[in-house]
Amino acid sequence: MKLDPRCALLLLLSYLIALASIQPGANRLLLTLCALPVVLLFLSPVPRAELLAQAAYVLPFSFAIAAVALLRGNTAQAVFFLLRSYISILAVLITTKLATTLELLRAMERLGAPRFLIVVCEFVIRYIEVLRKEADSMRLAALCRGAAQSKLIAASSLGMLFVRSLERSTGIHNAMLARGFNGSLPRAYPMQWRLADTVALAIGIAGIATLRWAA
Amino acid sequence: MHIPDGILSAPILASFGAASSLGVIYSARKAEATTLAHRIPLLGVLGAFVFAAQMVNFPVGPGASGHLLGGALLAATIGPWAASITMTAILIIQALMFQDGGVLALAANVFNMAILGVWLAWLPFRALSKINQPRLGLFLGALLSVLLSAVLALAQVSLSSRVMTQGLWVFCLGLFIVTGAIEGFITLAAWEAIERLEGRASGQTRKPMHLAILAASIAIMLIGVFFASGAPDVLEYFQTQAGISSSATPFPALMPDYEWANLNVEWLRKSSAGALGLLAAFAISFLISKFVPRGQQD
Repeated sequence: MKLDPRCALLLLLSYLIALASIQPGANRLLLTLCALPVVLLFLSPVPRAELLAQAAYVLPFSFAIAAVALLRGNTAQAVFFLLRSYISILAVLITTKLATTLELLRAMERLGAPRFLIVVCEFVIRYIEVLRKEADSMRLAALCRGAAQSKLIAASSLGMLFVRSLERSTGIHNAMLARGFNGSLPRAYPMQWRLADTVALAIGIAGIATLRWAA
Repeated sequence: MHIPDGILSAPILASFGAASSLGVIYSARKAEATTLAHRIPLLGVLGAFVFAAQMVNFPVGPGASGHLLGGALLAATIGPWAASITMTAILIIQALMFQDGGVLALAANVFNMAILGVWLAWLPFRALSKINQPRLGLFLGALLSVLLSAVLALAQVSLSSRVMTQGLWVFCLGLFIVTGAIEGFITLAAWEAIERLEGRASGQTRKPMHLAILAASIAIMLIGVFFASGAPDVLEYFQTQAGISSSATPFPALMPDYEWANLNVEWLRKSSAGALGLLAAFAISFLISKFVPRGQQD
């Protein structure tokens, strides 16, 4: 049974807040809280090895801070930052595998985020791939003309991409007006909060709080 | 500059979370009021444009390239309110889809890049556009936007982790100034290309910017004298540690240790040497730009 995206988002935020509230160096408490996403990882139908590897993406940033702590002789603090950032991103990855980005955006909207912002997010997601492909073909064409050494060609490519984006947005606007667009996007599948979500949220928050403050 | 989760402390997250929430809600209202509903696709497509534009690499030096970050270009083209919302949308998607920046750390990232970054880019652009210097305004805006957003991000990390040292701060500041200048040049180049394509530049005369850049460089150099550290640089430090430092030089230097020895006042000795070096570099670059054919410069 799938949780309501609002419930998943609230549980994720509660967990991240609990992690953020731990003082640097409290590695034992951090390890206790690490158990939650690890257990969830093995219980959920998600690609485990892929997520564990993907979570390492954050390590270069955290490693810079850990390296400074190490150089100052504070090994416990270095381990703490590496582990806390790794486990945080693992929790985010599990959530985004269990709920799609669009579902999470709509959950944010239902939890009070401005609708205008969410609609803009949905448009960005819709057109990222379209413009990325366009930029890729322009980049290939420019490289064939020796653009690797030319600021002028790179600038012209950017300018052209911008102008094409403007033209595309006008076309999209006209097409949407023809379909009755009035400034907001209709929701085909409204979210439904069930009793199971309330129970899951209560158990989840109680579990996180117990591990954080009672352990 | 995208801070991941697990780095910032709870007080920092709470304070910037409150500031970002208020900022985004207010920006959304203003953007909705000033942007007609039909321009929502425009904001969305321009947000996607920023993602795509980051694929276009600019050569910025031997073997190095940079890419547009986009806040200043968005602020200059669609205004600060709409740009703030578009940048917030980009940061949310980067956090949820690409794990670039944390979900809880969005509180800080949105404040740094979508609110402060956009307004720092917009204000110089607007002020200098009024005196017919939009290009200088755009360059300064992009530079300030990247520089101060990065400084704030580093301050947040520093306050949370308490691991930053003074030396690391100086190193990072240098890095941020270079990154900001690169963003300024790329934004300016993209802006000029857009103007050319839209035909807005026709009939306008471009004012030379090299004197303004020279004046800004001298100002930065003079201010820098007061903040410069008197400690040896890394190479000198290790030379001393390894016992291989040598005072003997094969040729007498014109200004040893970057000082003009003929002057009595210390700050004047250092700053005059810096100013002379700067003028020499400027003169050489200017002469190269005059004598090397334009086709070879690009």
